[in-house]
Amino acid sequence: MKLYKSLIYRELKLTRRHYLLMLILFLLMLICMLIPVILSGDEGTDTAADSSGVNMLGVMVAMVGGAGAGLDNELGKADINSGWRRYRIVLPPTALQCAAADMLVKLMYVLVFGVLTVAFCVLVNVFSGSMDVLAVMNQFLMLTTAFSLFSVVYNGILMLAKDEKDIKKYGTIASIAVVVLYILISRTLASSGMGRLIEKAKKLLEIMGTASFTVFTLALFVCVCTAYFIVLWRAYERREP
Amino acid sequence: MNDYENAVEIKGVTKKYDGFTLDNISFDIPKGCIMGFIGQNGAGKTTTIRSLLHITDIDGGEIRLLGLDHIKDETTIKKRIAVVFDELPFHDIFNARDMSRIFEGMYPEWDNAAYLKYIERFQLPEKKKIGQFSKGMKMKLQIACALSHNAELLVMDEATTGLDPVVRDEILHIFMEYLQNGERSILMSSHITSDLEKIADMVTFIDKGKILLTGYKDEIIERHGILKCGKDKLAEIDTEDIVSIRTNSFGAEIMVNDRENAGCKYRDCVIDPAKLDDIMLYYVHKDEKEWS
Repeated sequence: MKLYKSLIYRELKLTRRHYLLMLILFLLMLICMLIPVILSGDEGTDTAADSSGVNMLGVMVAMVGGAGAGLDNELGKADINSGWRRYRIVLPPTALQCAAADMLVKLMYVLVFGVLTVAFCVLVNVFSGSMDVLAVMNQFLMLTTAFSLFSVVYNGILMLAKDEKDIKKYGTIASIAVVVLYILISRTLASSGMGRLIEKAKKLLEIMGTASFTVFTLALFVCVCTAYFIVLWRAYERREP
Repeated sequence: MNDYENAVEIKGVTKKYDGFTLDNISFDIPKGCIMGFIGQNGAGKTTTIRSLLHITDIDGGEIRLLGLDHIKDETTIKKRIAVVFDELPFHDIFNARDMSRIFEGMYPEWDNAAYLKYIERFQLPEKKKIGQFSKGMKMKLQIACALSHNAELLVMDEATTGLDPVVRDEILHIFMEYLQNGERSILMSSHITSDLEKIADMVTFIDKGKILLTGYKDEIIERHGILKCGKDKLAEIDTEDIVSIRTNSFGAEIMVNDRENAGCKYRDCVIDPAKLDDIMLYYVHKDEKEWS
């Protein structure tokens, strides 16, 4: 336990700037979105247009929250730059323990952003009563999973770097890989045409509020988290050539 | 804790890189000894240290630390050793206090009082960020961390390189104190032979990935000598007595590998004692035999 406390303390200290910025951005966005909802709160959301507007707010909040929780915190890069990645090999914690600590920190931030997203939904519901909390949570989890997937690819390539010299090369390759992955996903989604894509999105939004979709999203999230954990573990276990 | 005779045992270790091979190297460090690991830049010191710490995998051979296998018993070993690199591997945003919080959970035998004592002794600020430390302060912090968990083996890779003589002397003094109970050992790689001349009990010379010489420092220094003679005398010197010959416009300086014997054999020649620096230099040119 003491070991994990030490590892987590180190990681929280190193990633706090990144997450603090993300949290400030997220909170500012939540406040900006809440103000119009609060101001128009008395009138309620009678029309379908109002309801879809509120749902759009949910999508945007889920997107920014998901990005905050899922985007890479650059810890791996910082560890390679400082020489800690090499030094860690001569320290007692095993690769598995280090990866577990990284994972715990990530999950903790997913929880923080998740709680804030729920809090936002509850507040919107208090004033307008029309937000589907489950749908927003599913969207949040889905987007966290998507951003985490980019993080898996990024870290997977970055683990080949062993020092500051390598970091530029592999950092660039990793960034390009993430962009390529994004383009591939976008192309796959758009392959059936824009009209059908909007149709699909609408259908997806409809089923997003269901419990079965929650199970699906959770399963996907667990899969990506497992992949993230394995990549971190392998990165910590990797020896220099 | 197990009983062991040698803190480090390296047997026939080979590691191949493109353009460099650590070639079948072997040496031991008995418990309680300071081993100076000497060689010029690129000789293979860092590769050897990285191999024994399992930072890199070896292609062949066997390494035992504290009597344990360096791969199979890795986790146990790492609780009982400390490593100091030439560059501080800590993040700039941390301070000395943060490092104690990080290490106290990692090492079962972390001694916070000892750490704070070293911090005070080195006059390191507790709250100042490491990024604002000078090179000397960074090295002192790394050493303070390494000495605060009762490590039985301290491995240092060029730890004193780049430090001013006053700091180097202070650090060497602390190492001597650290070894006083006879249970601890140090492997110290350096190309500053004067540091090793001061504190090492044993030395190992490495060049081009091969061990040239290993043994007790005093014995090595006592055994070797620089024989000075004219060039015309060179033919009279037995090749088996010679490590290598340095020629200059006045004559020749020959490193002999048995000073006492050479003193008897070549009575009309002057034989000066050799320093570690000289021994390293002559051994590096061993293959050339004659150099200037």
